[in-house]
Amino acid sequence: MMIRIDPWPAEYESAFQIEELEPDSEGKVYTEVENIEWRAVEPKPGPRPEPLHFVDGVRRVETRIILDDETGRIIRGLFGSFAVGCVRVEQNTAAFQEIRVGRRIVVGTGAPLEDQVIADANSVKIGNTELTFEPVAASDNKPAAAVECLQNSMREAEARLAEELSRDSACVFADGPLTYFAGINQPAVGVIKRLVEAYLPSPQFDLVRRLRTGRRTPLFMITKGQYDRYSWYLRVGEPRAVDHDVAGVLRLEVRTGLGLQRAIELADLSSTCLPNFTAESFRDPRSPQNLMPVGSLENELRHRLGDSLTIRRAIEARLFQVSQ
Amino acid sequence: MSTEIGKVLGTQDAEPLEFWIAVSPDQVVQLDDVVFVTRELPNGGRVSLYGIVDILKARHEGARFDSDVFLSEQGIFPLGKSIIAHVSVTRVEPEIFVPPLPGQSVFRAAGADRHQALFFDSMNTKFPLGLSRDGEVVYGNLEFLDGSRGAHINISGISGVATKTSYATFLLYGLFQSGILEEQATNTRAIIFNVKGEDLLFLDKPNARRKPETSEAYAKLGLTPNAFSSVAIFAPVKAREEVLLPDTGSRQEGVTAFCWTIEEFCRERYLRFLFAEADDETSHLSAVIDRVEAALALEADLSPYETFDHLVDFICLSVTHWVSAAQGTIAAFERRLRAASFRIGHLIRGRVSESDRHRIDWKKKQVTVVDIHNLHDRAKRFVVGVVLRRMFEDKEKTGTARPLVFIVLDELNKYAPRDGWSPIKEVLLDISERGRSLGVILIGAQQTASEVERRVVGNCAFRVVGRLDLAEASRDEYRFLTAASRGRAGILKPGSVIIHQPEIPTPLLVQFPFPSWATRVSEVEKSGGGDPFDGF
Repeated sequence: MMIRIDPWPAEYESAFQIEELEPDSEGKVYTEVENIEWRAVEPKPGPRPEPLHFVDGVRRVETRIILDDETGRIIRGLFGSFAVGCVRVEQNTAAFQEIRVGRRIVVGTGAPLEDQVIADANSVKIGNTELTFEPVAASDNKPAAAVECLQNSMREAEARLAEELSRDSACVFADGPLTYFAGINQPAVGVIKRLVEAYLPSPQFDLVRRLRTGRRTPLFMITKGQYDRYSWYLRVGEPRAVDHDVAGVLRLEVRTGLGLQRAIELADLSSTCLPNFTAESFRDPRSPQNLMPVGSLENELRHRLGDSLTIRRAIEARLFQVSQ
Repeated sequence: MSTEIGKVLGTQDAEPLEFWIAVSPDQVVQLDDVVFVTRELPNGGRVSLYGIVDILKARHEGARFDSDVFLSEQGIFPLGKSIIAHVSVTRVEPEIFVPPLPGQSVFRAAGADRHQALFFDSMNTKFPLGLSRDGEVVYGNLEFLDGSRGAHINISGISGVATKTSYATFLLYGLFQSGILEEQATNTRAIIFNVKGEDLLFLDKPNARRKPETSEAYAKLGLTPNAFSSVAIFAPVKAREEVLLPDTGSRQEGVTAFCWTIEEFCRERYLRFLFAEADDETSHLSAVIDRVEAALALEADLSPYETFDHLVDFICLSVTHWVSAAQGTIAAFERRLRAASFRIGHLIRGRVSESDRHRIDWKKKQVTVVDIHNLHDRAKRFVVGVVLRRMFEDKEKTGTARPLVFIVLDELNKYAPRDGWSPIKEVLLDISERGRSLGVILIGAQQTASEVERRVVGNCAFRVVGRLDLAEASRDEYRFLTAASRGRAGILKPGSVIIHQPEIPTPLLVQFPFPSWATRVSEVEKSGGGDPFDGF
C-alpha cells in the first residue's frame, strides 16, 4: 500500500477520473488495429511537418436568467460568452490566429426565441462596442441545460474552426473529443486531458501506466459513441515519484474515416512533437497535459471575452432599461 | 504632415500633464519625438495636448515568467509584443486641463503642429538652439536671453568632450548670423575667455575640415557656415621679455599682446583683483586693500616705478603709513601681494609704448577673444576680474542695455565658487543679477553646477547640460531634468546637449553642428595659393 498524489491542483477536477477498469472491453474497443504487439510504440524521430495548429475554446456564463411569462412556469436561461481560436506554430513562431468571440442568450424550452423581450434585451453597448447575444434554445429547463447549451455552441465553433484550419494544416490538435466534428477525413486530432473512460480493459491499460515520455500505446478503435475513432494513449511528461502512474498521460483520437495509415502517421507525429510543447509545473498548474500553446491560448481567449463584471453590469443596465 | 503613431492607452492613467501611448507596430517612435492628441469635449470645445516622448518601453504581453521569452522564440509559446511611450505634456491649447481619452489617436507633430508644441509659434524673436534628433530646428526665445524677460545661459558638462565652449560659440554664431539682432547685430559684442587649450584662437578662420553634412545642418538652421567675421584676439604678454609679444603657441599672427600700465593699475583700482582668491578671512585684509587702492589712486607721480616689482616694493614700504592695521594683517597683505606679483607682475608694466594698442578693447570688434589659458590661476582671475569690471563699468556709463554684450566664461566654478567671497565673484554676481537690465549676458560654463554660486546659476534663463557625471546629474541643480533626460545626460555624445528654457516645461535634446570655424591649427584653411605679394 502506497499513497500517491494526483498532481493537478485541487481546484481543478482530477485528470484521472476513470472509475473502474473493466477486465474486458465487451466488444466496443478493438486493440489489434495496427496489427502489432501490445507494447509501447516509439516513433522514429523525423522532421516536424508544418504548420501545426492548436485549437481551443473557453466559455463563461455572464449572468443566469429566469424568464417569467406569467404562466408560473420556470424557464431558465443565461447570458453567456465563448471564444475559440488557435495557435499556429510554424518553425520558431507561435502566434494566435482566428480568435472568434460568440455571445449567446440561452433560453429554456417554452419561451419563443423571437419574442420581442428577447430581441430588446439581447444587445448591450459598452463603450464603442456593441455586444449582441444571439438567442438559442436549450434542450430543457433543467438548471444544467443552459450551460450545456452554451458549451455546445462553443464546441461547435471549435469544431468549425478546426475543420477550416485542417485544410492547410499538417495537423490540428483540437481540445477534447471529436464529437462535434462533422467532417470525417480531416487531419484533426482530439486531445483529451481528462481521462474519464478507460476504453481499454485492465490488462491492456497496464501499458498506459508504464509508458515513458514520448511513447504511445498502439492504436485501438472505439466504436462506442456517435463516430468510430482510432485512439491512443501518449505520455507527455514523467510523473514525479509521489505522483500516481497515469499522471502526464493524454488520450488522443482521430476519426476512422481518415484511414488507418494516416491515423498511424498522426499518432507518431503527436508522440514526437507534443512532449516539446509541455509546460513545467510552475508555468501551468495542469502541466504537463495542458500544452503550452493551449494554456496561453486559453488566457488570451478568456481575455478576449472582456471584463465579466463590466459585461454583467451592462446586461443589468440593459434589462433594467427594457423593463421600464 | 503629422502622422498617427499610436493611441492613448487605457491600462495606465492618462493625466492632463502626462500620458502613455501604445505605439502602432508599423511606426518608429523615439525619445524626444514631438507628439499631440486632440480631444473633443462634450461641450463642443477642442483641446490639443502637445508633448514630448520621454520614456519608451517594450514588453511581452501575456508572459508571466522571464524565461517565457525563450519559449516564445522557439515557437512553443505565443506571446504578444507591445511598445508604449510616455508623453510629457509641454503645452495645452486652449488651457483646459483635461486628460486625453484612451483610444484617441496620437500624432507625431510636424510643421505648424510642432511649432505649437514647442511654443515656437508664440516666440516673437527666436534664435536657433540646434537641431532635434529628427533633424528639425529647435529655437530659443530671444526675449529670455536679451534681458526683456530673462537672460543668461548656463552650460554644465564634463570636460574633454568639447561641448561647452563649442556650444557657447555656436550659440553666438547663430545669434550674430541669423539676423534676429537686426541692425544691432553689428554693434553687439562678445567677450570670450579662452581658458583651456588654444581652440578659440581661430574663430576667424574657416574650418578646412568641414564636412558636407555640417553645411547641410547649418543651412537647416538658416545659417551660412563660415568663420566669425569680426574677431580680435588678445593674449597675455610673454613674461621676462621686454618686447610685448603674445604668449601663444599655435598662433602669433593677428594676436595682440595685452597688458596694463602701472598708471592704469593704480588709477583704476585693480589692486583688489590680485587678491581674488576666494577667502573667508579677508575682512581685515580687504580693509587694507581698500585703503592701499585709494592711496595708489591718489599718488601724484607713478612714473618712477618701471616694473611691477618696484611698485610692490613701494606699496610694502608705504602700507604702514597709509593704513593702521595689526602687524599680522599687514604681513598677510604683503605676503599675498608678493605672491600675486610673482604670477601677475608681467602683465602690469611701467612704460608701455602705445599702451592703447595693448589694452583689451572689447568694443573694437564684434568678438573679442581673451586668451588666458597659459596664465596661472591667480593671473586668470585677475584678467577676468579686470576685464569684466571694466566692461561692466563702461556699460553702466552708457546707461542703455542695447547693444548687448555677451560674456563667454568657462570654469565658472573658479570665478564664482559656491563658498567664500572674492571680488570676481562679486562682479559675476553683479552681472547675473543686474546684467539683464544693462544688456550684459553671461554664457557661463562649468563641469559641475553644484560648485558654482547658486545665484549665478539660478539667474540663468537657459540651462544647458552636456555629458554629465551621473552622480552630479542627480544633484538639486539639475532638478529641471526629467528622470529620463538625467539618465541620458550620462551618455550624451559630443555635439549633443539637453536644454531647458523657461517656456518649455520639458528639457529638449538638441544637436549642434560641428564648428564651421577652425578650432586648431590643422583645421585652418590654407590661403588658397594666390600670389603671396598680392598685398603689396
